[in-house]
Amino acid sequence: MNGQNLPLVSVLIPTFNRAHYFRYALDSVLRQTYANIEIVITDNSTNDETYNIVQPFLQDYPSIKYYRNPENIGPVLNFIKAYELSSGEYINFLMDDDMFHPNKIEKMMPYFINDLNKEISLVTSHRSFVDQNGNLIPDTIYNKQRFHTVAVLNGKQAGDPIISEFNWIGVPSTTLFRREALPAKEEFGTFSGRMYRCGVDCAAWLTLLQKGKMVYIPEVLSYIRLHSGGAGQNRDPIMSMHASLDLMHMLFHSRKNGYLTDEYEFSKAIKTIEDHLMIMKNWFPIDNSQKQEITYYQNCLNIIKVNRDI
Amino acid sequence: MNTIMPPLVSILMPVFRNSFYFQLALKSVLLQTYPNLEIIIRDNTNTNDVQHIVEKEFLPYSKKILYIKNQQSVPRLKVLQQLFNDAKGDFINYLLEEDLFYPTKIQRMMAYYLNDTTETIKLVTSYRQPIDENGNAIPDLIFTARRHNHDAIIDGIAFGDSMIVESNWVGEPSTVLFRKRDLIEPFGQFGGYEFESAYDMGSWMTLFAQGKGVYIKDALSFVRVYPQRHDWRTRMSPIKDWMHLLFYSQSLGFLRNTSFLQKNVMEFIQYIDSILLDNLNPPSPDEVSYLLQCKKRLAGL
Repeated sequence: MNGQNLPLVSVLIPTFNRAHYFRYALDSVLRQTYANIEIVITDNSTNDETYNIVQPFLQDYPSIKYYRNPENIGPVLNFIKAYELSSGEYINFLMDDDMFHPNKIEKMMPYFINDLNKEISLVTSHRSFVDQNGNLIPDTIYNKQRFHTVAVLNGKQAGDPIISEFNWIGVPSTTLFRREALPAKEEFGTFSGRMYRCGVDCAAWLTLLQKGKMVYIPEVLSYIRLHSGGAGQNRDPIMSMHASLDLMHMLFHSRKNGYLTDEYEFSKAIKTIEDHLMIMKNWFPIDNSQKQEITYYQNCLNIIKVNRDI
Repeated sequence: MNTIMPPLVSILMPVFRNSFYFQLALKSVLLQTYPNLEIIIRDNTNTNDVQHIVEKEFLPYSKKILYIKNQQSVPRLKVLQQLFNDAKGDFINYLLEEDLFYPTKIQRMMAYYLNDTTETIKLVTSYRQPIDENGNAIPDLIFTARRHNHDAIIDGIAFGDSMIVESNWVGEPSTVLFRKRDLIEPFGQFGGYEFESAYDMGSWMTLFAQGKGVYIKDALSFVRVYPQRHDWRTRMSPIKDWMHLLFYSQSLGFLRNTSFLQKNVMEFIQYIDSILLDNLNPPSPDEVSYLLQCKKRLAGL
């Protein structure tokens, strides 16, 4: 393919102290069959390993832009930094432990290139989980194929289940999106004016889907690494508390942004969040103040269930 | 999506005690569905704990938050007045650290102001859900009990009379949303007198004297009822406030209903007697003479 005529795709790799996996992630971008890609790496590491790995590549690949943060700015701000430093018309994040299928960008881009009216905001796909050694793990409910043929969904169809079920669209590595569809005032990872702390991907997808449609490709085009435990099993109490606040925000801001207008979906979302809070309260190693935060969210859900005042 | 921004609402958060409740209160503001808010935090504590948390956990993720540290602690009411002067919004809602907003609070209250083209509404309050020190919902107390089963727009004089006579069911500073320019006296002041403890009531009276109030029947905030809440109050502090409230508000047309007035006077005298007759903790001679003087003035009503 002649790279000159193709739109620029930015692949953004925010990374933190994970040099070993990062090497595979970077390699999977360099092997992409799509010809016009820039790679933006924002390195939050507190050691030099990633820096040392990148140096020889910088000589050979002018398309790689590498930024080392003077100090660890945390995952969310590191995402935003990579986004702000990129210039592609289309964006695909790549988590430092995930990998692309070699044809990922090439298979996804035609949906944007042929979309003359710019109706499509994002393209996602089926994806596989892999273990620490890169071996494929059988599909779970979180990544199993949602459609057997290519599906085009409107924003509501694609976005409602993010709140009422789980993030079925995928982690940041899975999705390629149109930069223009993210409003200038909304940074990556914000929804309805608030920057998310855990579900930055959910926030971004919900914001993008207000502007357009989504394409789902049933082929496996990315590989998502699971480190331990089952899919979605993250018992880190701090991240789980962030996730709880994010979920509450998503619910209360859903209808004013066009989501969950259907009563059934709305009730389903409340139930999903109630279950999440109940599991956290009973099974997570949380302290008193965190428990109290969960109680506050439960009190709010008890009110909205009756009043439905959004 | 609505492209015209509604008026700016300032959420004013004083911090007096600790970070435990404060962080959750701040999160309850971050959930608000109203799109145009500023959050101003005045930290009146004498440690750096709150500052550390705000700078690490909140400021990097929100452009709406302004954090100010009082280098020297100032009296409680002064902090609320400082915050009022810091506010750039057209509307004000305080949030005390122990209380919490329900996510639609500001949006639902602002709807009343936005529909009120003649600007006759001067105060909007709501039912509030009481919670205990662990955040669990608890049964209503006399002053939190739901007053109306539908949203009600109430004449300011009637609203004020009912508050004076029947307890402050209008709400704590966290409960009420008001227009900044309607508060024509500093927060906690009514008729030139600065309240010692019931300063929320003082300001609600300032607002009721100018127009109507709205009571929303749904729970739009959570008020924490726990022993330490009123630690800063003394048993004498309500007396002067009450005297002023009774005499000054009459001059503005409140308490014209004599049976209302008499009921209030009787309760007031009972409160004074409870201090005078407190054998375990008797009042000082100065306090006794002041209390007796109050009783004498009340007898003339």
